[in-house]
Amino acid sequence: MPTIPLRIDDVDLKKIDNLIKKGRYKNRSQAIKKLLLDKLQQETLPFEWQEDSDEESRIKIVNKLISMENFSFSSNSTKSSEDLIGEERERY
Amino acid sequence: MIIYLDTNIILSHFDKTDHFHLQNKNLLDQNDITYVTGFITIVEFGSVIARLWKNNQIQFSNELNKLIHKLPEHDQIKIITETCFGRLNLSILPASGLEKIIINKKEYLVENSFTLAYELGSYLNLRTLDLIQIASAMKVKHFTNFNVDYFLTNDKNILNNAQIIRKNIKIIPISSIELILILKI
Repeated sequence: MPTIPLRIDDVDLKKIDNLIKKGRYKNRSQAIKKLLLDKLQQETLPFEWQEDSDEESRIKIVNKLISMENFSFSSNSTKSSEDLIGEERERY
Repeated sequence: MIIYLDTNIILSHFDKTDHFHLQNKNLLDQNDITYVTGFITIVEFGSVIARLWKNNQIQFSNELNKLIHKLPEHDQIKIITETCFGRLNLSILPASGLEKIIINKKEYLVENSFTLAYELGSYLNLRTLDLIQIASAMKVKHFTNFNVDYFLTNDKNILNNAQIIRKNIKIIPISSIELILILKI
């Protein structure tokens, strides 16, 4: 298992030491590892099948489109909006 | 007045060919109404756009095509979806929390839209995604301290169950036409 050096400021270290004093963790190492893993579990990590995406360019285009005077599209499906969403909900 | 928008209303607002397009455009342009929806609506909307896209059943202006045609397909679909939601005077409800459920002595933390939808399943005669939408509408109270006044949808299945939904959870499903009549617009 690799070891990584970590810089942490005094205020945060004091918070961790207080949690150790309260008995929540055995030592600093265990506290940091547990807090890190808990946070990591909440993150949505990229999956292998996901293609690269340029989020910054996407946001720029979206902002440009939002500020355009008109924005609409035309669906040439014969179905109404409620039927298209009904299909999404596996009704048909 | 707080109104929860179902996905078909937003789709119809942007689809010029939809039979309720003008009504929904008119309704969503009202500034004195607070419109809200859940993230499930973005998921459904994006999925429908992707399906129409793959079947060559959706057309955009030349201006839009020029801006996005070089991007990968998944980015184009996200751009369309995010633009539509960004253009509306609409709040998207954030996740409000996790709830603990216990099954066979094991504890699980579950996003509370799902636990609420799970509860509603035995009261309402609806399918899973409808239940998640209704659960999202109920969660509006967590953020505003008010119930939604109406659940705006043109979905016949939800409208046909309006009385059961209203009786059990005090949310009123309503169609675009009915809402226009009530608001006199």
